[in-house]
Amino acid sequence: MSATENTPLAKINSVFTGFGLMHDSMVYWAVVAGLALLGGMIGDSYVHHILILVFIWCIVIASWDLILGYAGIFNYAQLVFFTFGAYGSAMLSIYAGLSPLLAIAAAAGIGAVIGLIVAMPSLRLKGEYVALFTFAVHLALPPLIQQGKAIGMGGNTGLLGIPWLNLFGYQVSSIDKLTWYWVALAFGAVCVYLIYFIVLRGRMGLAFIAMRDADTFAQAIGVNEYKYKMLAFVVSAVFTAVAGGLYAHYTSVVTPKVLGTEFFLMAMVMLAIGGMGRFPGAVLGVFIVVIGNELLRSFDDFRLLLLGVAVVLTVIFLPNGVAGLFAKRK
Amino acid sequence: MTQMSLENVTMQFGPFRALTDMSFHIERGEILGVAGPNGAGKSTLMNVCTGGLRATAGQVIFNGQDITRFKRHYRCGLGIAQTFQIPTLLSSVTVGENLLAGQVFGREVRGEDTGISMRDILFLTQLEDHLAMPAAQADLLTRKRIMLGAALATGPEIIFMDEPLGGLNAEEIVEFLQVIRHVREELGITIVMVEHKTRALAEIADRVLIINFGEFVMLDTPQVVLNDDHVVEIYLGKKHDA
Repeated sequence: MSATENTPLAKINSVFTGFGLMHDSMVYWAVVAGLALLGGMIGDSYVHHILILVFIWCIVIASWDLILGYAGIFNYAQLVFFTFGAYGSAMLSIYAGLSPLLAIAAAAGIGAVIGLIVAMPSLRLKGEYVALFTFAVHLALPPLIQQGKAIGMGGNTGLLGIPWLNLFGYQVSSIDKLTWYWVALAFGAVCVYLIYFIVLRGRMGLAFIAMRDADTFAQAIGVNEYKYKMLAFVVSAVFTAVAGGLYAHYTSVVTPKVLGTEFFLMAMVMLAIGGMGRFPGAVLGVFIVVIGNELLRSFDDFRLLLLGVAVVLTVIFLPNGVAGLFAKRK
Repeated sequence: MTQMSLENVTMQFGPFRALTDMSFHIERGEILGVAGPNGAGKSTLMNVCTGGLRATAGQVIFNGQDITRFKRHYRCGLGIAQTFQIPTLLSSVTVGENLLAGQVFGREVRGEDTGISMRDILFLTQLEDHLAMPAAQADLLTRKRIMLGAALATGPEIIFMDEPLGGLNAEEIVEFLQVIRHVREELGITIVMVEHKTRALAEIADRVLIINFGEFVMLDTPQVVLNDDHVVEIYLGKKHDA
């Protein structure tokens, strides 16, 4: 259509036009392959369990990083998406007899709807008011689940006996940690890849960064703020709901505890230590916090105190989290 | 030929009226200067035109279409661009990516190619050597170039510039005026600029619009406007006869 488009000068090299995608993808999948091999070498099923949680958390934190770190929307309803994914997938497989893989796919759909519902009022608000509203949604959910006992949400005890994952006829029990390790790694790797390499390196990512850096200027150069903020909520919610579904079938139990303070604070700490808006910061944050948390188990009561100290030190010395280290080197 | 016009535009903020019954035309391809004392309503006027504000009463017409109620990004798609007084950029990406953003989203909101090639933009703004630089490291003049470049990349027919010369030294002013002039000469884009530096305005503008207390005062060539007793009075106060 336009001849001038293709002249060498007219092309701007950028990660948003696919520059370096090949190379970075290869490094990424090499690391994933390394992790897959590592899983086979580990003999301890407890270590497998910890890493399975890491991979599931990676999806949640990458999604949160997408909306909070990249799009700059103060969304604190991330675990709401997770909870809907977990409950949705669990209920569909328990009551409707959906196979777990299908139920997880359906959870993605549920996530999209919840994302839309949370987004609509949020988009009428600015900055920190979004934080207040979305956190209110988070706080309002446990009583709602309580009431949901009538429709089979299990109330306080939660849902038990969620069917095992069925991989093409092969039942993956929760005890089969090695298979679960690879399943969780596959889900985590694909989701994180889609988030950071496809969504955030495409037009959507550029729009998110534009809105975060300079919202008025972004609108002036044609960014449809409403559309892209809506997309940020929906995309983030879809991936998080998938993580929720995966979690439900792994633990085979979901209780309202997933909305508890410990989970929420843990997620915040992962983002704070990892650093927002800079891949692979947030994902490294997950590894550091979950594994660190386990290593500190022997300190018992002092564990939370030590985690707190770690956060304070990170904020003081690495205000951009671990991701800040990468930026400085360049 | 009239490209854009305001018809009896009033902008009310609660009890305060920032613009009162403002009417004038912007001609296609001209450089129109907008001046007036602090608080005269210049920025409000810009925002009513570019979509930052929705006029309380009256109409904003662009190419024969009533755009009074359109949002900023939608107006961008019609060919209305703007640059800001304080250069805000996409500070966490490179200079080139700032221009790219203008091109990508300009094209998206327009639904077709923007019609201004990146080659032309780089030539006009002289940013070619800085494309890989992080935008956060750019100095003030470069930031202004980037902002203008991104605006141009959206393929506009008219650009509203809010104090484009603010903060620049004498040398830089000459340089940036030249860029603005080129944008009009090479690309035929209409320019509306709010500016306090009246001497520079007189030099570059075809016509100057003076507003005061949100009201239209006069619109004429710089020579006429800046020699007008009433305008001088607005700026310097009444002459006291001995």
